[in-house]
Amino acid sequence: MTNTFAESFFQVILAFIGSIGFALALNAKKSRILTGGIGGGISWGIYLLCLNLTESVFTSSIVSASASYLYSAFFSRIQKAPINVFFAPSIIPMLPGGGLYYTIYSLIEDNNGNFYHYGKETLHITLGLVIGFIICSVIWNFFISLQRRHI
Amino acid sequence: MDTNEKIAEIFKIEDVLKIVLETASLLLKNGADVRRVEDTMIRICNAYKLRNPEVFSITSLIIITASDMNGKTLTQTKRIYNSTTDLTILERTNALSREICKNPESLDYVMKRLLEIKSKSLKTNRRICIGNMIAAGSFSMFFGGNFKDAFAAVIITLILFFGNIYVLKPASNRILYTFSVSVLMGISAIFLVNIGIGVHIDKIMIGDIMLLIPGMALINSITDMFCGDFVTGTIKVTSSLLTALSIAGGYLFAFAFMGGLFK
Repeated sequence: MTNTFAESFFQVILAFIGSIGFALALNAKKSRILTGGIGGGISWGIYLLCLNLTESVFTSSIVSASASYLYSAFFSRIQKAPINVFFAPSIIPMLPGGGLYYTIYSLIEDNNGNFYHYGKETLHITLGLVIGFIICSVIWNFFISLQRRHI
Repeated sequence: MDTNEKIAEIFKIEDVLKIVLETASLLLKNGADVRRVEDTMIRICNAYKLRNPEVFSITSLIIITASDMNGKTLTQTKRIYNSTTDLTILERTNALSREICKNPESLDYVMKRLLEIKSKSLKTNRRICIGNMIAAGSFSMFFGGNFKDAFAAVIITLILFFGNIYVLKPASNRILYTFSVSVLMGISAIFLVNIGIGVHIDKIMIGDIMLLIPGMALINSITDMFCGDFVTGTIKVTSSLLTALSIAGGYLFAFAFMGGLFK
């Protein structure tokens, strides 16, 4: 699972454009569209980097979901907007659309090997995203509650 | 007379609860998570000096009970029917609720602002259509398709979009909607590849699957469960799993249907 640098760069650009498209479709404010797109690009870049280093889809999903959560939490804190405004577009490139499709397709083809492989991969990605999200949101909320207590 | 008593005298509890419910339903309908909605409701109640606010919310219902300074207790509920994510409304409502928590404005003014937010949404069909087209095209290339595939994915989005407005919107059942949309997408993708626009069926379909996939809902719901909110978590997990299954079912149906016609 190693990509060339040019391929990875191309994918990051496409993730950026795709996230911008989703920000438009979810009807974000004009000033939030670019932020969402950059978030999508950054998190996909981190995913690819991590995939090259560890070769594990699960770990990469955890790391990139955490990165995207921290990115959105940072902006939501600064600009005083709900976190979902930034998180919804920037998590999009990591969602396992390809895995879901190939799982269905191998089910149709009656190909048990592929079905197991792609189904497992889809499950790993989803679980990784959820775990990364939960870890970060618990830690972040803990720090915010600490800050409130001091004030 | 201190300010607390003044506030309690000016604002009647019935009207305050109405404002609270309206704000909460706008937040919940447009993609806020349940914990945030409950938190906002309690803050607004405190700002208007209501005593003992008790709130409960799931994705389709909001309940609130509070008492005023004289001990009069009231409960109001609001049923939420269909929700579509609209980040602009979410952000503006959130800003408004921050504002009225800082200094409680008159209720007429708040109601006027809420109606304004609801009506002045940027949500136009053209904007959403362009967004979906950009997303579908770039994701079909993202997963390894070429320009032809991206073009086909964009065309399918257009077909979907008009089908969505004129045919599917009246039947506002989410599962049924996802199923019929996936059938339509599958059939048009196979058709487009057969007449020569687009090369890889899989890349085109993946680009369009990304528009339907309930990723955000799934992540939110499992987080809800881990935070101890089992009712909301279960509702959302069930609905997003059913959505994923109906995408799968729709594609299966399309393959079976078109496979018989073309191969």
